[in-house]
This record gives sequence, C-alpha cells and structure tokens, in this order.
Amino acid sequence: MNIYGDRGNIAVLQKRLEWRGYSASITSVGIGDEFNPNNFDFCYLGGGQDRDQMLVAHDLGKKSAAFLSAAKDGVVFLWVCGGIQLAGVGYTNSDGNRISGVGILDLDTSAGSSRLIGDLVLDAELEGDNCRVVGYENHAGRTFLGPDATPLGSVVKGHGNNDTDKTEGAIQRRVVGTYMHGPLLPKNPWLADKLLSWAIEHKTGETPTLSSLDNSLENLAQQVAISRAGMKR
Amino acid sequence: MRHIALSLAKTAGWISRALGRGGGTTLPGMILLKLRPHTLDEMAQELEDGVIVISATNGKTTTARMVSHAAHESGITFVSNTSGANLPSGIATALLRRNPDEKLGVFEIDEAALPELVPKLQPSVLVLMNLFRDQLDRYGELESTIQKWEEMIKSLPDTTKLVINADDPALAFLGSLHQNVEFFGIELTHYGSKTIPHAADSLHCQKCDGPLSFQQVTIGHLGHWKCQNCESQRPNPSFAGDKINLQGLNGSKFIAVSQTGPLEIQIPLAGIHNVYNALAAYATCSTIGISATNIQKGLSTLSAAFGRNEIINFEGIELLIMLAKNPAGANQNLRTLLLEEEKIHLAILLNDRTADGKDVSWIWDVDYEMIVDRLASLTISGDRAYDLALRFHYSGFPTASMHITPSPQGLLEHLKSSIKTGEKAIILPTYTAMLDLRSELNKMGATHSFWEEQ
Repeated sequence: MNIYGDRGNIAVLQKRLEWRGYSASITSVGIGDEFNPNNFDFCYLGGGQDRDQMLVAHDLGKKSAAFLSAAKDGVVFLWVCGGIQLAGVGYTNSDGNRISGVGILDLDTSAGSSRLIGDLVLDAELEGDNCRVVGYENHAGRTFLGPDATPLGSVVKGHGNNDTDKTEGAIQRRVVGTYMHGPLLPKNPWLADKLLSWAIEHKTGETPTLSSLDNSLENLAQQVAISRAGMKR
Repeated sequence: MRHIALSLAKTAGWISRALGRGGGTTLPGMILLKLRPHTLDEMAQELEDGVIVISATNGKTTTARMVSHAAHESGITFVSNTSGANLPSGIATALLRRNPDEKLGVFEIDEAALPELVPKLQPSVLVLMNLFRDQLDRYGELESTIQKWEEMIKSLPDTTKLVINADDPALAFLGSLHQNVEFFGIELTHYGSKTIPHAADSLHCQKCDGPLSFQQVTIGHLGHWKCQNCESQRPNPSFAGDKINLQGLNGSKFIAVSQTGPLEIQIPLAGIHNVYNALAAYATCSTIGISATNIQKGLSTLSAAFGRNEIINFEGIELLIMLAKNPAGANQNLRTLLLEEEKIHLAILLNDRTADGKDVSWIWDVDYEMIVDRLASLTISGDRAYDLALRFHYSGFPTASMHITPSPQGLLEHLKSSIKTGEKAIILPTYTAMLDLRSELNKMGATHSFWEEQ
C-alpha cells in the first residue's frame, strides 16, 4: 500500500542477505493477484490509507486459510501498521462497521477517537533475546492482544498498541505484527537479522548462523533516534 | 479595542526582531489572533482589489512570488506573506504590517490551514496546484485533506475564481464541483514519462474510485490521466504549457497557450515543477487583468525565493539551495539535477522538527538511486543525518565515501575546505534545516536575513 517507506524494509532485508552471500527473490503482490503464501519464506505487508486498507482486507480475506497454514508452517510474516490490524481477528471502524482480518494473530482492533502519533521506543523480546527497538507510530486503531499472542515488546516511550497496557506489536510463532514504522528495519538491525534467520530456517530447515555485519551506522542512527525521542541513552 | 490589539501585536514583531528571534513573521499575528479572533476577516475586507490565495503541497512560495512580481511590474501595490509564513498567524502578521496603499492581497497558505482561512479571507481567486503526500504526522492522510478541500469548495461563492491544475486528478475533480474555474496544465512533452513513479499517490478516480490510466506523467501523479471506469479525464486546460525546454539548472523556457494566443515565457528557475508554477502564476495574473507583457517581464526577472533554487555565493563557491521536504519534491529536485552534465557536489540536510515533519520515513520513498552515480561528492547533515546515511548505505553507496556532519556549520566548513573556488554545490535541505543554513550563512556574511528580502 506504499505509504510509509515500506520499500526501506524490503531493501534492508534484501541487502543484509546479499551482503552475507545469500540471494533473495522478491515478488510484489497486488490486489487480485494469484499467489500462495505457502510458497514463500517471508511475507511483508505495510500500512496504507484507510480506503486502500479496506480494499486489501477484502482481497486478503479470501486467502485466510492459506495464510493460516503458512503461519503454522513457520513462514515469517512482518505485517506493519495497517498490516497488524489485518493480521488479527478483525477491525471495528468508527462507524461500528466490522472488517474481518486474516486471523494469523490473536488480536482485535477498534478505531479510537484520536490518532496515536510520535516516536516509539520499545524493549523488544524475541525467543528470549532482547533489544531496544526504535521507530515511529501513527495510528487511530487501538489493538488488544488475546491469550495466544505475545507482545513484540514493552513500550518505554510512546503509545503502543492501545495506549493503556504498554504493549507494542504482537508475535505468534513466526508472525510479527507491529505499528512501528520509520521504516522499522534500517535502524533495528537486530530485528532484521532475527527475521532473516527465521526465513532462512524455513527455507533450509536448519537454523543458520548469520555472519556479523558492521552495524555501526545503524547503531548510531538508532541512538540518535532514541535521544530525539526525548530519552537519554 | 482594535487599535490597542493592533499596537500590541505590532510591538511584538519589533521586539521579536530586536531580540534576534527570527523575522517576527508570525508572532505579531499570533498575538493579534488571540486578542481579536475576527481580525483576519476585517483586515482582508479592507483590500479593495481583493485577495489571491495560493495553496499546494509544493510550489506555493514560488508561485506567490511569481504573481507578486508580475503585479509589481504592472504597478499594482500588494501585501503578501512572501517569507513563507503560511499559517493563520503568518497571514495575520502580513496584514498587520500592510501599508494603507496596498490594495491587493497575495497569500500562500498551508494545505491544512486552507479550509479554515478561505471563509475568513474570502479570496477572489483561489489557486490550487497539487496535493502530494507530505508531513503525514501533521495531516494524517492525503484523502482527508482532499475531503476537507471538497467541503471548502462546495461552500465557495460563485464569485470566487478557482485556478486549478488539470494534471492533478484529485484537484481536477474538485474543480468540476465549481462553476467559476480555469484550468492550467502541461501538454505532452518529451520530459514526461509513461511510468508512474513508486512514490506516486492519488491513483484512483475521485468520482467513482476506479483505477486511473496515464498517457503521460510529469511529476508524481501529475499528468494526462483518465479513469478506466467512468468518463472522468483530464480537463482541457485554458492555460497550457507547450514546447518546454529545460535549460539545466539555469532556467526553463516554454510557450504558454491561452485564449489570447501563445506567449513565450522564460524563467530563471530550473525544473519542470517551475513550469507548473509559472503556468499557475500566468493563469492567475491573466484572471486579474495583468497584461501579457507584464507577466512575461515579471516572470523572467524573478529572483529565486528563499531556499527555492536560491543561489548564494559562499567563499567563492556557488551554493544552489533547493528545498526538499517530501518524496515528490525531492524526486523532482533530483531529476532536475540530472539535467546537468557535470558530476555534482551534493549536500543533503534532514531535520525532523515540527515544520519538517517528525516522521522521516519519506526519505525511503525518494529515488536517490538515480543520482548515486552522478556524484562528485556526498555530504550528509541535519538532526537525522544518520537516517539519511542509512538510506544511502542501503542504496549501495559506499559508507567510506559519505561525509557525515550533522551541524550546518560543520557542513559549510566541509564544503569550504573540499570544494574549489568557482565550483557549484547543490544543497537539498528540509524546511528548518534551510532556516538554520540560512542563519549560518548570514552570520558568515554570505547572504542577508530572509525577512529583509523584497
């Protein structure tokens, strides 16, 4: 849906694979296109303007079963902003109308009366490993997690999923949903590499050891963003 | 009461400048509006020759300046907010400072503030040039801005003349809702392309939601569009830009075709976006009766506005400053740079303060890849320099060849020591970075304060 620099997330994933000697093939999928998520290792969905999201929700809903089986199989999903909403059970808009989600994350969203906008800093945790993650949020939706989903992290600065329980994002198996953009991955190489190793594992059946890359620029950018968010390092 | 309110507000402006806190281009207005909220309506009504309002995502300042310059050639005295203070406080400040003999108002107005200000200012001419995705954290979404503009247009009196860019599908649709409208646009040109760029928005029909097809695109989603589902299509512009000749960074030439016949226009500003600006200015000036000769003269003798293609001589180096604050504008600047044959010394400054937009993700929608091979050097600066460095890092540009220096002083020092006398450096700042840069250059004696111009 192409509104928040999603291209940046794809560029980061692709380059970090290439720099390690892997190659990636990227398929862009539009409304009405035929595709089976089970044939991929990584599925990315960004956010969009409200009307575009309605159209996408309708289209993706038709493939719900395929997404569920892909998620079960360990395909990696990163669905951002509008994406986290579509990943859930459903979305109730400000008129009270309900849109069904794809159901790969146990969460539900309703439109709030105001937009939650600003810098977002999290203590994120994935498989017992944790790291600070920084980004930016801009969403009217208020998302609440059900028992089967774990938050991506706890909010250190910002609003998060619903501005009340200090959670941000959601993870279930290898499905990650989040409101963080910026875009998310350039300044958060730890997260990018985590997702990449999951994707490689899905492809090869083995957990890879990724060679380390020089992340000094990424780390500097992350530090600056965290301090711009009004926090000391 | 009014007299006291005006005096208090005027004093604030004087104090603001005396304390060196910027040009006092918005503080007096802010105070005035607080003391007397209806002041804007009253002051605007005093303008006997009416009010011209110009709004768009990109090009407001340049177009307002073009109109003002042509008006000046024509002997019309006017009041304007040419320093780019385009929110209610800026308009109020400009009106506060007006000389009694200034009878025409020429104002550029921010797209989000427009619906609130139009009923107050009651413009005789309302110029709408383009709507691109910009500063999402301020405006929420493009669609909601379009909706608010639609409501505003539906409440416009028939006497208000709309001057609208036919090449913008959303704006052309808004134009169709009003009786009194003139369209401007660019004819088929070899500078156009058949492919929609990645950063384009507004790709569906405003009338029926159907998909649009394009015979030609010039900038972002601007071009020769047609709905694939209903009869909506680009209206024929009554002011059309034809036979365009872009002369590198030196300027542009084209023929403006209208009811009165063809008119050759030469402007000292580069890039096809400035052809749109000049067409909008031409259409606006014709509407208010300025002669073709005066329009031609006004446009050709124009100097660049603050930070918009502005050329500053700094320690023997020629600095060309081009404001870049959203993907459409940034891409357009880069495409304009590609018109140059020599390799380019490029400096980019990225800030994330309120006026720039706090969300810097837009840099990932700019096609910097198009100039990566054309660079003699790359200097990266601003509060979010490292985000920009990451952007270039992921475009494959070698980190070792980037020079990163967040402060504007650091940037200028680096340019001074690394670029030879007589050479040119192109600087692409976001809005507040441009202000910082200007202030530094002013301190070094290279230019004058922005509020002192014209």
